[in-house]
Amino acid sequence: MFESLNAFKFLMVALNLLILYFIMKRLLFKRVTDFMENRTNSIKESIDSAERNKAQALEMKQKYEDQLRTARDEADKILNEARGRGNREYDSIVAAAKQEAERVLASAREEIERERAQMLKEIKGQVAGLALAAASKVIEANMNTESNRALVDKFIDEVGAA
Amino acid sequence: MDKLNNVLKANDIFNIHIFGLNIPISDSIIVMWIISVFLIIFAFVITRNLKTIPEGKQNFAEVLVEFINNFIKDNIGHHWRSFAPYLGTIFLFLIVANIISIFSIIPTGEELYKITGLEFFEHWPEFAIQPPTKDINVTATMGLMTVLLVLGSSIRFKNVFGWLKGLAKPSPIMIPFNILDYGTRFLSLSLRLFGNILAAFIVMELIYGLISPVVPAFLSLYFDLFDGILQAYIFVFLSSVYIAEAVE
Repeated sequence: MFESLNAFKFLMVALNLLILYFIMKRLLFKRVTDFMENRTNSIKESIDSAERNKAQALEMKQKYEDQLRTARDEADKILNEARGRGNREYDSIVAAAKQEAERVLASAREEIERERAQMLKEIKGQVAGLALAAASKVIEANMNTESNRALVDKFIDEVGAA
Repeated sequence: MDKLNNVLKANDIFNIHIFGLNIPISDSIIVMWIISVFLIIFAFVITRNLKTIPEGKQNFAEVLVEFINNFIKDNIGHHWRSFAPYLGTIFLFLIVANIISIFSIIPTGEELYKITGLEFFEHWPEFAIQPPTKDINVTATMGLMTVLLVLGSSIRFKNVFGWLKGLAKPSPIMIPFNILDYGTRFLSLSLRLFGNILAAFIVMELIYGLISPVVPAFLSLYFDLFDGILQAYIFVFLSSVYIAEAVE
Protein backbone atom coordinates (compact mmCIF):
# COMPACT_ATOMS: atom_id res chain seq x y z
CA MET A 1 0.00 0.00 0.00
CA PHE A 2 2.61 2.51 1.04
CA GLU A 3 4.98 1.41 -1.70
CA SER A 4 2.28 2.48 -4.09
CA LEU A 5 2.69 6.19 -3.19
CA ASN A 6 3.00 7.78 -6.54
CA ALA A 7 3.66 11.38 -7.56
CA PHE A 8 1.58 11.07 -10.73
CA LYS A 9 -1.36 9.85 -8.74
CA PHE A 10 -0.98 12.83 -6.40
CA LEU A 11 -1.12 15.16 -9.37
CA MET A 12 -4.07 13.34 -10.93
CA VAL A 13 -6.05 13.37 -7.70
CA ALA A 14 -5.25 17.02 -6.99
CA LEU A 15 -6.12 18.05 -10.53
CA ASN A 16 -9.33 16.06 -10.40
CA LEU A 17 -10.35 17.61 -7.08
CA LEU A 18 -9.45 21.15 -8.17
CA ILE A 19 -11.43 20.84 -11.40
CA LEU A 20 -14.32 19.35 -9.45
CA TYR A 21 -14.03 22.24 -6.98
CA PHE A 22 -14.16 24.93 -9.65
CA ILE A 23 -17.09 23.33 -11.42
CA MET A 24 -19.03 22.68 -8.20
CA LYS A 25 -18.33 26.20 -6.99
CA ARG A 26 -19.74 27.75 -10.13
CA LEU A 27 -22.54 25.29 -10.62
CA LEU A 28 -23.76 24.67 -7.10
CA PHE A 29 -22.28 26.54 -4.14
CA LYS A 30 -21.78 30.07 -5.40
CA ARG A 31 -24.86 29.93 -7.54
CA VAL A 32 -27.26 28.68 -4.88
CA THR A 33 -25.71 30.86 -2.15
CA ASP A 34 -25.94 33.99 -4.30
CA PHE A 35 -29.45 33.09 -5.31
CA MET A 36 -30.58 32.59 -1.72
CA GLU A 37 -28.86 35.78 -0.58
CA ASN A 38 -30.49 37.79 -3.35
CA ARG A 39 -33.82 36.37 -2.37
CA THR A 40 -33.23 37.15 1.30
CA ASN A 41 -32.28 40.70 0.39
CA SER A 42 -35.28 41.20 -1.85
CA ILE A 43 -37.61 39.85 0.82
CA LYS A 44 -35.99 42.10 3.42
CA GLU A 45 -36.32 45.04 1.07
CA SER A 46 -39.97 44.41 0.36
CA ILE A 47 -40.73 43.98 4.06
CA ASP A 48 -38.86 47.21 4.78
CA SER A 49 -40.72 49.10 2.10
CA ALA A 50 -44.04 47.67 3.29
CA GLU A 51 -43.12 48.78 6.80
CA ARG A 52 -42.25 52.24 5.48
CA ASN A 53 -45.46 52.46 3.48
CA LYS A 54 -47.46 51.44 6.51
CA ALA A 55 -45.82 54.10 8.65
CA GLN A 56 -46.44 56.65 5.93
CA ALA A 57 -50.07 55.61 5.62
CA LEU A 58 -50.52 55.86 9.39
CA GLU A 59 -48.97 59.29 9.38
CA MET A 60 -51.24 60.39 6.57
CA LYS A 61 -54.25 58.91 8.29
CA GLN A 62 -53.33 60.86 11.41
CA LYS A 63 -52.98 64.01 9.34
CA TYR A 64 -56.31 63.50 7.62
CA GLU A 65 -58.03 62.78 10.90
CA ASP A 66 -56.58 65.97 12.32
CA GLN A 67 -57.75 67.86 9.29
CA LEU A 68 -61.18 66.31 9.54
CA ARG A 69 -61.39 67.23 13.20
CA THR A 70 -60.33 70.79 12.48
CA ALA A 71 -62.87 71.00 9.69
CA ARG A 72 -65.59 69.68 11.94
CA ASP A 73 -64.66 72.16 14.65
CA GLU A 74 -64.65 74.93 12.10
CA ALA A 75 -68.06 73.88 10.84
CA ASP A 76 -69.41 73.76 14.39
CA LYS A 77 -68.03 77.19 15.08
CA ILE A 78 -69.55 78.61 11.94
CA LEU A 79 -72.87 76.95 12.66
CA ASN A 80 -72.87 78.25 16.22
CA GLU A 81 -72.00 81.70 15.04
CA ALA A 82 -74.75 81.61 12.48
CA ARG A 83 -77.20 80.31 15.02
CA GLY A 84 -76.20 83.02 17.46
CA ARG A 85 -76.51 85.69 14.86
CA GLY A 86 -79.91 84.33 13.83
CA ASN A 87 -81.09 84.31 17.40
CA ARG A 88 -79.90 87.83 17.91
CA GLU A 89 -81.57 88.94 14.70
CA TYR A 90 -84.74 87.18 15.73
CA ASP A 91 -84.68 88.75 19.15
CA SER A 92 -84.07 92.18 17.77
CA ILE A 93 -86.80 91.75 15.15
CA VAL A 94 -89.26 90.50 17.74
CA ALA A 95 -88.29 93.29 20.09
CA ALA A 96 -88.69 95.85 17.34
CA ALA A 97 -92.06 94.39 16.43
CA LYS A 98 -93.17 94.45 20.03
CA GLN A 99 -92.07 98.03 20.37
CA GLU A 100 -93.85 98.94 17.18
CA ALA A 101 -96.96 97.16 18.34
CA GLU A 102 -96.84 98.93 21.67
CA ARG A 103 -96.38 102.23 19.97
CA VAL A 104 -99.26 101.54 17.61
CA LEU A 105 -101.38 100.40 20.53
CA ALA A 106 -100.48 103.45 22.54
CA SER A 107 -101.21 105.79 19.71
CA ALA A 108 -104.46 103.96 19.06
CA ARG A 109 -105.35 104.23 22.70
CA GLU A 110 -104.52 107.90 22.65
CA GLU A 111 -106.61 108.36 19.56
CA ILE A 112 -109.49 106.57 21.19
CA GLU A 113 -109.07 108.69 24.29
CA ARG A 114 -109.04 111.78 22.25
CA GLU A 115 -112.10 110.72 20.24
CA ARG A 116 -113.86 109.85 23.44
CA ALA A 117 -113.03 113.17 25.00
CA GLN A 118 -114.19 114.85 21.84
CA MET A 119 -117.33 112.86 21.79
CA LEU A 120 -117.91 113.49 25.47
CA LYS A 121 -117.46 117.15 24.90
CA GLU A 122 -119.91 117.11 21.99
CA ILE A 123 -122.40 115.05 23.91
CA LYS A 124 -122.01 117.33 26.85
CA GLY A 125 -122.76 120.27 24.61
CA GLN A 126 -125.75 118.58 23.08
CA VAL A 127 -127.01 117.40 26.47
CA ALA A 128 -126.66 120.93 27.79
CA GLY A 129 -128.57 122.25 24.78
CA LEU A 130 -131.19 119.59 25.21
CA ALA A 131 -131.47 120.29 28.90
CA LEU A 132 -131.76 123.94 28.27
CA ALA A 133 -134.37 123.40 25.66
CA ALA A 134 -136.21 121.02 27.89
CA ALA A 135 -135.97 123.34 30.86
CA SER A 136 -137.00 126.36 28.88
CA LYS A 137 -139.90 124.35 27.61
CA VAL A 138 -140.74 123.43 31.19
CA ILE A 139 -140.48 126.79 32.73
CA GLU A 140 -141.55 128.54 29.57
CA ALA A 141 -139.01 131.02 30.22
CA ASN A 142 -136.10 131.97 28.11
CA MET A 143 -133.15 130.42 29.71
CA ASN A 144 -130.97 130.96 26.77
CA THR A 145 -128.84 133.41 28.46
CA GLU A 146 -125.15 133.16 29.19
CA SER A 147 -125.56 132.87 32.94
CA ASN A 148 -128.14 130.14 32.70
CA ARG A 149 -126.02 128.13 30.37
CA ALA A 150 -123.04 128.31 32.75
CA LEU A 151 -125.29 127.14 35.51
CA VAL A 152 -126.43 124.10 33.55
CA ASP A 153 -122.90 123.24 32.56
CA LYS A 154 -121.87 123.31 36.18
CA PHE A 155 -124.67 121.03 37.02
CA ILE A 156 -123.80 118.53 34.33
CA ASP A 157 -120.20 118.51 35.40
CA GLU A 158 -121.25 117.68 38.90
CA VAL A 159 -123.52 114.92 37.68
CA GLY A 160 -120.76 113.60 35.40
CA ALA A 161 -118.30 113.63 38.20
CA ALA A 162 -120.62 111.68 40.45
CA MET B 1 -6.81 -14.44 0.82
CA ASP B 2 -5.77 -14.08 -2.77
CA LYS B 3 -8.99 -12.35 -3.53
CA LEU B 4 -8.52 -10.01 -0.61
CA ASN B 5 -5.02 -9.14 -1.71
CA ASN B 6 -6.35 -8.55 -5.14
CA VAL B 7 -8.93 -5.99 -4.02
CA LEU B 8 -6.47 -4.26 -1.73
CA LYS B 9 -4.02 -3.65 -4.51
CA ALA B 10 -4.39 -0.46 -6.48
CA ASN B 11 -4.72 -1.69 -10.04
CA ASP B 12 -3.32 0.27 -12.88
CA ILE B 13 -5.98 -0.02 -15.50
CA PHE B 14 -4.17 1.75 -18.33
CA ASN B 15 -1.46 4.32 -18.96
CA ILE B 16 -1.61 7.75 -20.45
CA HIS B 17 1.37 8.82 -22.51
CA ILE B 18 1.67 12.58 -22.47
CA PHE B 19 4.69 14.91 -22.80
CA GLY B 20 6.88 11.84 -22.87
CA LEU B 21 5.58 10.79 -19.47
CA ASN B 22 3.96 7.51 -18.70
CA ILE B 23 1.09 8.24 -16.33
CA PRO B 24 -0.56 5.18 -14.85
CA ILE B 25 -4.30 5.46 -14.31
CA SER B 26 -5.44 3.28 -11.46
CA ASP B 27 -8.94 2.17 -10.60
CA SER B 28 -9.18 4.74 -7.80
CA ILE B 29 -8.60 7.52 -10.35
CA ILE B 30 -11.27 6.10 -12.61
CA VAL B 31 -13.72 5.86 -9.72
CA MET B 32 -12.87 9.47 -8.88
CA TRP B 33 -13.73 10.45 -12.44
CA ILE B 34 -17.02 8.59 -12.15
CA ILE B 35 -17.78 10.35 -8.84
CA SER B 36 -16.82 13.74 -10.28
CA VAL B 37 -19.01 13.28 -13.32
CA PHE B 38 -21.85 12.10 -11.10
CA LEU B 39 -21.49 15.12 -8.78
CA ILE B 40 -21.35 17.56 -11.68
CA ILE B 41 -24.45 16.07 -13.27
CA PHE B 42 -26.13 16.05 -9.86
CA ALA B 43 -25.26 19.72 -9.26
CA PHE B 44 -26.37 20.63 -12.75
CA VAL B 45 -29.71 18.87 -12.37
CA ILE B 46 -30.63 20.27 -8.95
CA THR B 47 -29.73 23.87 -9.83
CA ARG B 48 -31.51 24.02 -13.16
CA ASN B 49 -33.85 27.01 -13.47
CA LEU B 50 -33.84 28.31 -9.93
CA LYS B 51 -37.09 29.97 -8.93
CA THR B 52 -37.86 32.50 -6.23
CA ILE B 53 -40.36 30.10 -4.71
CA PRO B 54 -38.39 26.85 -4.47
CA GLU B 55 -39.98 23.58 -5.39
CA GLY B 56 -38.88 19.97 -5.67
CA LYS B 57 -35.20 19.51 -6.33
CA GLN B 58 -34.47 23.17 -5.73
CA ASN B 59 -35.52 22.67 -2.10
CA PHE B 60 -32.95 19.93 -1.86
CA ALA B 61 -30.24 22.10 -3.42
CA GLU B 62 -31.03 24.94 -1.02
CA VAL B 63 -31.09 22.70 2.04
CA LEU B 64 -27.80 21.09 1.01
CA VAL B 65 -25.98 24.37 0.30
CA GLU B 66 -27.46 26.02 3.37
CA PHE B 67 -26.39 23.11 5.55
CA ILE B 68 -22.82 23.27 4.27
CA ASN B 69 -22.74 27.08 4.50
CA ASN B 70 -24.01 27.02 8.07
CA PHE B 71 -21.61 24.28 9.03
CA ILE B 72 -18.64 26.25 7.67
CA LYS B 73 -20.02 29.50 9.12
CA ASP B 74 -20.25 27.90 12.57
CA ASN B 75 -16.67 26.65 12.39
CA ILE B 76 -14.83 29.37 10.50
CA GLY B 77 -17.02 32.41 11.11
CA HIS B 78 -16.30 35.63 9.29
CA HIS B 79 -14.36 34.23 6.31
CA TRP B 80 -16.74 31.34 5.60
CA ARG B 81 -17.43 32.59 2.08
CA SER B 82 -13.92 31.78 0.89
CA PHE B 83 -13.96 28.21 2.15
CA ALA B 84 -17.54 26.93 1.94
CA PRO B 85 -17.35 25.92 -1.75
CA TYR B 86 -14.09 24.00 -1.37
CA LEU B 87 -15.00 22.24 1.86
CA GLY B 88 -18.50 21.57 0.52
CA THR B 89 -17.06 20.01 -2.60
CA ILE B 90 -14.70 17.87 -0.52
CA PHE B 91 -17.61 16.88 1.72
CA LEU B 92 -19.85 15.81 -1.14
CA PHE B 93 -16.96 14.06 -2.86
CA LEU B 94 -16.00 12.17 0.29
CA ILE B 95 -19.56 11.13 1.05
CA VAL B 96 -20.01 9.64 -2.39
CA ALA B 97 -16.46 8.22 -2.44
CA ASN B 98 -16.74 6.54 0.95
CA ILE B 99 -20.11 4.91 0.37
CA ILE B 100 -19.55 3.98 -3.26
CA SER B 101 -18.76 0.36 -2.36
CA ILE B 102 -22.49 -0.23 -1.96
CA PHE B 103 -22.52 -0.06 -5.77
CA SER B 104 -19.91 -2.80 -6.04
CA ILE B 105 -22.60 -5.18 -7.26
CA ILE B 106 -22.51 -3.35 -10.59
CA PRO B 107 -20.48 -5.70 -12.78
CA THR B 108 -17.21 -4.46 -14.21
CA GLY B 109 -14.32 -5.88 -16.21
CA GLU B 110 -14.33 -9.66 -16.57
CA GLU B 111 -17.71 -10.04 -14.94
CA LEU B 112 -19.11 -7.71 -17.54
CA TYR B 113 -17.52 -9.88 -20.23
CA LYS B 114 -19.07 -12.99 -18.72
CA ILE B 115 -22.49 -11.36 -18.60
CA THR B 116 -22.51 -9.54 -21.91
CA GLY B 117 -20.14 -11.72 -23.91
CA LEU B 118 -18.76 -8.62 -25.57
CA GLU B 119 -15.12 -9.00 -26.56
CA PHE B 120 -14.53 -5.38 -25.70
CA PHE B 121 -14.54 -6.22 -22.00
CA GLU B 122 -12.52 -9.43 -22.28
CA HIS B 123 -9.10 -7.99 -21.62
CA TRP B 124 -10.09 -5.49 -19.02
CA PRO B 125 -7.93 -5.79 -15.96
CA GLU B 126 -9.39 -6.49 -12.58
CA PHE B 127 -11.52 -3.45 -11.89
CA ALA B 128 -14.22 -2.96 -9.30
CA ILE B 129 -16.12 0.02 -7.98
CA GLN B 130 -14.32 0.55 -4.69
CA PRO B 131 -13.93 3.64 -2.53
CA PRO B 132 -11.04 5.71 -3.94
CA THR B 133 -10.38 6.80 -0.36
CA LYS B 134 -9.02 3.36 0.45
CA ASP B 135 -6.11 4.38 -1.77
CA ILE B 136 -3.48 6.16 0.33
CA ASN B 137 -2.59 8.37 -2.62
CA VAL B 138 -6.05 9.89 -2.69
CA THR B 139 -6.31 10.57 1.04
CA ALA B 140 -2.72 11.83 1.22
CA THR B 141 -3.44 14.26 -1.61
CA MET B 142 -6.54 15.49 0.16
CA GLY B 143 -4.69 15.87 3.45
CA LEU B 144 -1.92 17.75 1.68
CA MET B 145 -4.45 20.03 -0.01
CA THR B 146 -6.05 20.83 3.34
CA VAL B 147 -2.69 21.62 4.92
CA LEU B 148 -1.71 23.81 1.96
CA LEU B 149 -5.08 25.53 2.17
CA VAL B 150 -4.54 26.18 5.88
CA LEU B 151 -1.08 27.58 5.18
CA GLY B 152 -2.27 29.65 2.22
CA SER B 153 -5.30 31.09 3.95
CA SER B 154 -3.25 31.91 7.03
CA ILE B 155 -0.82 33.90 4.88
CA ARG B 156 -3.61 35.46 2.84
CA PHE B 157 -5.75 36.65 5.75
CA LYS B 158 -2.97 37.52 8.20
CA ASN B 159 -0.12 38.23 5.71
CA VAL B 160 3.33 36.70 6.04
CA PHE B 161 4.24 38.51 9.26
CA GLY B 162 0.99 37.61 10.92
CA TRP B 163 1.55 34.01 9.97
CA LEU B 164 5.12 34.03 11.31
CA LYS B 165 3.92 35.70 14.47
CA GLY B 166 1.23 33.02 14.77
CA LEU B 167 3.95 30.35 14.69
CA ALA B 168 5.48 31.84 17.84
CA LYS B 169 2.28 31.52 19.82
CA PRO B 170 1.79 31.07 22.72
CA SER B 171 5.58 31.38 23.20
CA PRO B 172 8.64 31.17 20.90
CA ILE B 173 9.49 27.79 22.38
CA MET B 174 6.49 26.44 20.50
CA ILE B 175 7.87 27.32 17.04
CA PRO B 176 9.20 23.84 16.19
CA PHE B 177 6.02 22.22 17.46
CA ASN B 178 3.83 24.58 15.49
CA ILE B 179 5.80 23.79 12.34
CA LEU B 180 5.59 20.12 13.18
CA ASP B 181 1.84 20.58 13.52
CA TYR B 182 1.51 21.01 9.75
CA GLY B 183 3.08 17.60 9.28
CA THR B 184 1.04 15.88 11.95
CA ARG B 185 -2.17 17.39 10.65
CA PHE B 186 -1.36 16.12 7.19
CA LEU B 187 -0.63 12.67 8.54
CA SER B 188 -3.61 12.49 10.88
CA LEU B 189 -6.07 13.73 8.26
CA SER B 190 -4.93 11.40 5.51
CA LEU B 191 -4.24 8.34 7.63
CA ARG B 192 -7.48 8.60 9.59
CA LEU B 193 -9.53 8.66 6.44
CA PHE B 194 -7.42 6.01 4.72
CA GLY B 195 -7.39 3.71 7.72
CA ASN B 196 -11.09 3.94 8.44
CA ILE B 197 -12.23 3.35 4.90
CA LEU B 198 -9.69 0.63 4.26
CA ALA B 199 -10.58 -1.14 7.52
CA ALA B 200 -14.29 -0.94 6.80
CA PHE B 201 -13.63 -2.20 3.31
CA ILE B 202 -11.54 -5.15 4.52
CA VAL B 203 -14.11 -6.02 7.18
CA MET B 204 -16.86 -5.97 4.61
CA GLU B 205 -14.82 -8.11 2.18
CA LEU B 206 -14.22 -10.66 4.96
CA ILE B 207 -17.90 -10.68 5.85
CA TYR B 208 -18.86 -11.14 2.20
CA GLY B 209 -16.49 -14.10 2.14
CA LEU B 210 -17.78 -15.67 5.34
CA ILE B 211 -21.52 -15.12 5.27
CA SER B 212 -23.21 -14.60 2.03
CA PRO B 213 -26.89 -13.66 2.25
CA VAL B 214 -28.80 -10.97 4.19
CA VAL B 215 -26.37 -10.35 7.09
CA PRO B 216 -23.80 -8.39 5.06
CA ALA B 217 -26.55 -6.00 4.03
CA PHE B 218 -27.10 -4.89 7.62
CA LEU B 219 -23.39 -4.72 8.39
CA SER B 220 -22.90 -2.80 5.18
CA LEU B 221 -25.26 -0.14 6.52
CA TYR B 222 -22.79 0.49 9.32
CA PHE B 223 -19.42 -0.06 7.66
CA ASP B 224 -20.19 1.43 4.26
CA LEU B 225 -22.85 4.06 4.91
CA PHE B 226 -22.49 5.23 8.49
CA ASP B 227 -18.72 4.98 8.72
CA GLY B 228 -18.27 6.52 5.29
CA ILE B 229 -20.48 9.53 5.98
CA LEU B 230 -18.96 9.93 9.45
CA GLN B 231 -15.43 9.96 8.06
CA ALA B 232 -16.41 12.48 5.40
CA TYR B 233 -17.90 14.69 8.10
CA ILE B 234 -14.84 14.34 10.34
CA PHE B 235 -12.45 15.17 7.53
CA VAL B 236 -14.34 18.34 6.60
CA PHE B 237 -14.89 19.28 10.23
CA LEU B 238 -11.21 18.98 11.11
CA SER B 239 -10.21 20.85 7.95
CA SER B 240 -12.56 23.71 8.86
CA VAL B 241 -11.24 23.75 12.45
CA TYR B 242 -7.66 24.01 11.19
CA ILE B 243 -8.65 26.79 8.78
CA ALA B 244 -10.53 28.64 11.51
CA GLU B 245 -7.45 28.47 13.69
CA ALA B 246 -5.32 29.77 10.84
CA VAL B 247 -7.46 32.75 9.82
CA GLU B 248 -8.81 33.96 13.15
